[in-house]
Amino acid sequence: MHIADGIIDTNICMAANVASVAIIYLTGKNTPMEEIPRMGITGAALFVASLIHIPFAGTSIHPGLIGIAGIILGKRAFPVIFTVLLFQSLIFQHGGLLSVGINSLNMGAGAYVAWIIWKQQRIPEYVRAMAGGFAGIIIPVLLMTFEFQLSGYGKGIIFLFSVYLIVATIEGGMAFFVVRFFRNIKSDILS
Amino acid sequence: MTRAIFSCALLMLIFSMDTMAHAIRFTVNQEPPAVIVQAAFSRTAPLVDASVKIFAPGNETLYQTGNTDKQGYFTFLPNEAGTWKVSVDDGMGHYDMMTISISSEFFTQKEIIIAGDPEPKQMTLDAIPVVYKIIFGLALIFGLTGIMYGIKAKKMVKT
Repeated sequence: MHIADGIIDTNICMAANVASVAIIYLTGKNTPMEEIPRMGITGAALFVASLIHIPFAGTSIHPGLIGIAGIILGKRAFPVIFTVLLFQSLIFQHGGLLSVGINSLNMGAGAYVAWIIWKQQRIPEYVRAMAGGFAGIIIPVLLMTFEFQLSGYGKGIIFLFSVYLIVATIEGGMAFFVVRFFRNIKSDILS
Repeated sequence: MTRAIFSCALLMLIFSMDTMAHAIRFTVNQEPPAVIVQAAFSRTAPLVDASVKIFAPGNETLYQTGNTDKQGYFTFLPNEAGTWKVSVDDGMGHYDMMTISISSEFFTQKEIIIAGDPEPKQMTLDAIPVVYKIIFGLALIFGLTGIMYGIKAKKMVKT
């Protein structure tokens, strides 16, 4: 799901980088001290999880835990996602330095939608968790497909969706188990 | 709880050993008159049916286009010495461009074999074991968390 450098127009990438910095400021300012360790641990989980690659249909897919990050961190997920993507591009050349912004905006939107879903108290908790995990992948894929279409790039919407639908379903299941785990151990991480 | 989190972290670390989910690795074999390149995500995950573009030295126009085979291989026959550019794209957002230096000896010698990614930057990073890179990345994240926590704590003490 990391878009590599050279695919999206440089001007768009630069604009996305500027927008990302602005969003980091808006979502990260006045972060309470007690939220920082939670952000660090979630960031570490995101960093390692997205390195697990699953060869599929000639390409490479991986879990992202974006929805789970949105559920746990809410709006603070964006600075965490940006930091993780920055380190991944520097250390592993995943994506690229130029496309860190656009990748962050895509994945950040997924985390934000997951958080919105998670806040809907009327829906049963485990349904919210699954929907959040699913949205955490499908929303970035939707945006990525749109960007690819604008750039006249890619193998097409159907191929992209059919590949990432599997990842999104797995992520929905993972979010369910993560929420159940935290509820079982009576952790306040989901508060 | 600590044991469960530690177990999860350990499992994730083990599964991410054969990693590089998105970084494309190139292996180049120069076997005159052909240059054989393999593009892969890792040792076990080749880029299948990825679009390949080859640019001749000092020329931005396309020399050749094609697709990788089921094992991620593609071959081309260079016609001059110099730095050739090869780009690989799987149409899913995974794209990389590499350079291959073809010496004049390539056209006179019978067989030269050079294995591995010819880009010095890629070679340096590839030389570091993945597990060290993961630990380094985690150390950066936790270090940054510690710094942020320290700054916040200092502000709190001041107020």
